[in-house]
Amino acid sequence: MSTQSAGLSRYGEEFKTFLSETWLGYVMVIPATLILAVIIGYPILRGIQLAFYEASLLNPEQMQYIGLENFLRLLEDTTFQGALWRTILLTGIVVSLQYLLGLGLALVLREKVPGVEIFRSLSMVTWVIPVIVMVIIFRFLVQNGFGPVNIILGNLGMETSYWFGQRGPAFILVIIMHVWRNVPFYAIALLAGMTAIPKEQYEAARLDGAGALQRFRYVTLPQISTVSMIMIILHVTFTFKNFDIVYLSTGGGPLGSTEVLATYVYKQAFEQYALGYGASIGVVMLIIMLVFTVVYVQYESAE
Amino acid sequence: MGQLETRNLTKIFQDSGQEIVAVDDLDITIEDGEFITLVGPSGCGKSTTLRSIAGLETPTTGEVYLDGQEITDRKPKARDMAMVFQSYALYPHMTARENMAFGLRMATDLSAEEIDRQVTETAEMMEIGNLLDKKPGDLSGGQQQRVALGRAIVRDPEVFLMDEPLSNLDAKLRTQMRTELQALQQDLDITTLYVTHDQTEAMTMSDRIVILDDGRLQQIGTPLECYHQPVNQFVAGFIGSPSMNFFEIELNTQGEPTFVHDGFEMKIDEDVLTDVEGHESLTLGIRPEDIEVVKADARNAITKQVQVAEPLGEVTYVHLEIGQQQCTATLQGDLVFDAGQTLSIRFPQDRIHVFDGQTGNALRNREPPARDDIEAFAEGQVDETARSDA
Repeated sequence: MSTQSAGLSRYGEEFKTFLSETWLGYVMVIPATLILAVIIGYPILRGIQLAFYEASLLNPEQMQYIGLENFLRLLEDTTFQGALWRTILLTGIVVSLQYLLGLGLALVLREKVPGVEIFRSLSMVTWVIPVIVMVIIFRFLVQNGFGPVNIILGNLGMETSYWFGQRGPAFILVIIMHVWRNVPFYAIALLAGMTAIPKEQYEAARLDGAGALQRFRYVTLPQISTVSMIMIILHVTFTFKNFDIVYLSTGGGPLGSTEVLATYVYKQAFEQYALGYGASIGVVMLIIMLVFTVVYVQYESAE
Repeated sequence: MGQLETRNLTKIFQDSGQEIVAVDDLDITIEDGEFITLVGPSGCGKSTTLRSIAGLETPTTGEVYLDGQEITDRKPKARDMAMVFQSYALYPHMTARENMAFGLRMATDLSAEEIDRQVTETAEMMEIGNLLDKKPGDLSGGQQQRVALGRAIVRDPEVFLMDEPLSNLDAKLRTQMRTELQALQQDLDITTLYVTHDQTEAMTMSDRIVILDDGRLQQIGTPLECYHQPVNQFVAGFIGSPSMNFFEIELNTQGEPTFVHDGFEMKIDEDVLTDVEGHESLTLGIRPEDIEVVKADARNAITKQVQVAEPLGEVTYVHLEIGQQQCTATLQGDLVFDAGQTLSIRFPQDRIHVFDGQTGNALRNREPPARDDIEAFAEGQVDETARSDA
């Protein structure tokens, strides 16, 4: 009996210590938690709620509950389906290209090539400049008549055009902007992951008979998988919900050829004033992203 | 077969325009099945030598031969050598089994079953059969060490290269692994080149030791050869713990030949004189354990006050100051002196070493223990009086 009560009192002690040592921590966390709850938690819940209502931006007070009707409409909305497909395509292509090019760049940067230090600093510029500046630069580059790209194409005797105004090229340009902006970020993150691998492991692998490709496959790749996962999840999310790059460069055009979910939500809510319908698209985006993240994290931790 | 040889091996590193000679014209021949230790202070070039042999560094000049074939420019994987690293260099994302199998998977075309059989067999021998499915992060330092050794053994190489493999273990485990490693090497009979800065490891494990300083070969020999007959002052000071005591002395041949030092004078016999005559400056060396305690009026007695005594139980280290120079004597454990006590010691003439003061080369070494005496001991033919003389 005495041991049992001693055990109980020990739990009491621990609980007291826990309270006395952690209350300060909780107090410090509360303001941030409250702010997050207001600026993130509320909009999410409000957005989900809106998705089940018919609501107009012109008359936001007059909301009418309509159940799943918004979602049923989505099933028949070909513009939505096109935007969904384009968003998935864009995300897939962009993140794959970013990862492959970033990985390649990291491998180059890891070698002690002269000038790497300067390049390392310069390469982050693309990531630091504001999106609007990047879009203006790209729009200037492909301007008809005086844009450098068209001058070069013209000199080569090829077709010139304002390429953001052409259906196929506009989508490709959107991809290029995404890739151009983020590849250095991938490279720096992956490089950090690679630098953490002790060089003895590569030496051991060389003695074990592994060639350069096998060393990459069996030593480097598995050990940058966590940082890869973080980068991929971050950028799948970034790209999937990206609004500014598309909206500022093409506005979703020409003829909806670059319309993605984010621009479509914006148009529904703020041009068609269909708040509820826009919110339902937002909910679909949220679900897709959640499913993707959960599945990827599960897969990665199972590896 | 695993006869390894380096000829004129030289490695020069470029560091911001400066040349650093890490290994300088090194010739070593290692016989098949031999356990050779490269030993020396930090930066003496022992690791660079090992890495050049492994193919991880390219020698600036010189060659490496394995069984008479030149392998200097061969890739590491084409050398049939396995290496154990100080940090173990296990692949953290692979289980112990995968770590051990990796080399066989990469370098051979054995079937998966065969590889698994060999890995399991080696793991049983290393007593890590139950750890095979754990990852390095879940293993203790000693267990990781065993996996790293197992990874080298399972490949059945011509040569083992070991770069300070025990230095990350705690003292007790290190002693245990030392014995185990030695037994293992004798069982497997694979040529082993072992790098350490720990002279105890060098002395206890090796068939022969190679002593390097500043990239240059100082001496190759059996541990006891290096201990009893060092070729120069560096080897004499490096091998043995506590280190040999050195005194800069002058030879006075007026009257009875005498070594003269600020703190003592020592009359020498004819045979010592023959060895050292004609050299201007000399250094006298005496190992702490060779110093005798004598009566104050004995011949060549040096009487000083004890500065510090360190009783270790089995022996006592006594520190004295002789002519402003520190001198350590290793005495029997029951001779516990207090600081300040007066003590008379003597450097026995058959135990002293004399080095040239300029070059450091040995002019005279102590007599090595005669082989006959040891064998007589082993056969139990020594009576008590003979033992007390020895």
